[in-house]
Amino acid sequence: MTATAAVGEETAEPVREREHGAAAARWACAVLAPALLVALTASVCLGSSQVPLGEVWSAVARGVSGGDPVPGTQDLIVWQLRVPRALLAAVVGAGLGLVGTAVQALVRNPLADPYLLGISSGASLGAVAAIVLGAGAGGLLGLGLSSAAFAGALASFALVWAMARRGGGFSPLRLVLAGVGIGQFLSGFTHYLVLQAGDDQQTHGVLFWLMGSLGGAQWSGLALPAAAVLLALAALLARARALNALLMGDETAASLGVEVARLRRELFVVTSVLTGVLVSVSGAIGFVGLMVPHACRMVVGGDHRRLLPVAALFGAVLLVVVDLVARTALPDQELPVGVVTALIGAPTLLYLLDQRLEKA
Amino acid sequence: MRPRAWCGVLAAVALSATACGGGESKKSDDAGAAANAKTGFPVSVSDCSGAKTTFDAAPKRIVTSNAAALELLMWLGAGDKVAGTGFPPGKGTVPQQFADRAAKVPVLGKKVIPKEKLLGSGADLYVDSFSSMKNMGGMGMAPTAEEFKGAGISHVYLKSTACASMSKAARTDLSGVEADIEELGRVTGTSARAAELVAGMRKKTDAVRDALKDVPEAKRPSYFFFDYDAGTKQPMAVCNRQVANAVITQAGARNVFGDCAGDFKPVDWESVVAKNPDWIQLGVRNRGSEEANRKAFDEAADFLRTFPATKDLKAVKEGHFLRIGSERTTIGGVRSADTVREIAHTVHPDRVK
Repeated sequence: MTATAAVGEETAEPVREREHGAAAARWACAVLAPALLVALTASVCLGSSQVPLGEVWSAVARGVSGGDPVPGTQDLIVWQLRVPRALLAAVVGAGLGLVGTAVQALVRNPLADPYLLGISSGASLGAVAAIVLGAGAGGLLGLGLSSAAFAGALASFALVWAMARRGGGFSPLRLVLAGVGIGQFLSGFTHYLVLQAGDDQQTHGVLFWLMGSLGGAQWSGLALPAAAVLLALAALLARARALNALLMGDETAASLGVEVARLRRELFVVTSVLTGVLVSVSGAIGFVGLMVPHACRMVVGGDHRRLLPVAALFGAVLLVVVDLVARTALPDQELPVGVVTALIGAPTLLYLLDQRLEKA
Repeated sequence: MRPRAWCGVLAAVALSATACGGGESKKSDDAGAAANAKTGFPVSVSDCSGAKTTFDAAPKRIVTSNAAALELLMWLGAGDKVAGTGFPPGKGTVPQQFADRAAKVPVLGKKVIPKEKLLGSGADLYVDSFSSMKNMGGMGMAPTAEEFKGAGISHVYLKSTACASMSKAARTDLSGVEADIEELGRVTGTSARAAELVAGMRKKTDAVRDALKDVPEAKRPSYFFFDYDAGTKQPMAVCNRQVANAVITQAGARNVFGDCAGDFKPVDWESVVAKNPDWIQLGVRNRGSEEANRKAFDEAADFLRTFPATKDLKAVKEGHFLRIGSERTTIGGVRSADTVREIAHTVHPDRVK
């Protein structure tokens, strides 16, 4: 597989290249960390309604200090809607960047994305079932939309696991085929349910959610995805060297002391749980998990010790910006986040690719 | 050769024979013309884009796209001609006097009627509440104009609903709904009944208008139609081309999304909170029973009371909720006038009794 070889070459780097990668990673973090702060600030200051800048900061200060909100709508808009939404965008973006990087290593395929393993199809089925069968916020079987989505993610995780472990290997091909097959199977049910929606508006609402939306962000819903992203980051960083070895092929990794099958199992659990959590809070936001690892690899190289944190940071910046565009691009309506990620992400990826080819 | 083609040949033969009858045919033509003059045929109607369809006689077998079109035909007294419907009425959703008849109407599709079933229904008229461009998400399921023609089915739209998204101007009164009723009355030969229905609607809406005539625009309460079943993560705004905008405006309230052009548009909660409406309608879809509807209204109200961004809104704090179902607000029909009256009575209790 040429792509694998290319990634392998990137990780089997000589000393000078490794030093260059480390410097590039420091530079990337130095740029991305302030960029994230700027993006978060812009996201809190701008929106579909006009809130004077001074009022925005007063509302944030009152929120942070736990002071009583000022009567009226400005505190509600800034502290209950914009701030949690901006933070959720950052968390989900970071999570998608991480999980995309991990899945690409797990199945040794640069075209892999977080949704390849079928987990998001289960989550989407759960969410759509909650909207169509449970109607509104009432949910399905007493589950809210997010819980139903997570239950769907776990169910598809169990199915893919059962299929992939037969033969004992969790081989990349088996994982991908099981994920794609079960994902397609569950997507069929999802599409059937979409057609069962009561009417045009309900269908529209379901499709909007399927294309990704951070509109349901609340303070109470931030802790779980944030914890999941942090835990996944820690778990993946702890396995960063093993991930590097995995990209060189199973035999090479085994010769370096990596228990390949066990590592794949662990990666599958981490990526599945994180994908389930992310899809349950934001729908299936496409492209970020596919594009971010590539963009970051072009800048900092393929060493996962650097790639993972940079991908998380870049994913966070990207999704905060994308969500801001989705909320403000059109005067009287909101765009699905997935539409904007594709419109912004694809040209960005192509530009980076072009630059890289020119350098080469 | 298909049966329909044989019918065509036989009809042509029959027509030729009649034409050869000389003086006899002249007499029957005169009689036909007199009958048509009495019933108002031929009748021409247009679709959303202005294309005309002409009817020389009232239809004998009608298929309706959904419960709203079916109900309208029942109001017009043409319910016995309905040979099938899509989106059938849920339990308890049609007025009591039509319930038995509505239950007997064959269901050709639980949602959009499949193309084959519609074309093979034997109907000579299809009354459509949906625009062919959107077709309720059932892309490609709607027959083309040629297919309708080939099957001998004339196609009319209830334009107040079907053409809303293509409409050029805001809808602030029920004239579009009334025009639909009158047009369907002309097509089905029930113009007199249509005129009665429209007069009854106008009586109600005129009474509301008169009671509120000295309430200036700025003093009218702001109003948000909360489409609970379209999902709570992404609120769906009712914009100014939608029938609901006309209902809300005629009831003496100001739709908070009255400045947005179109029928429905996804917005963010920020837009809703910024408007801080005086009143919120809990627009839930009919669940088929009083108890289930009450539960759905309660759920919608509970969501607004517990969602941090909405719990402190004026309408939520004051409990200014209207428990009026979605269908009779967003789908035009005879009962739209009752919805106008109900909203007006709730938001202007001292003026509209």
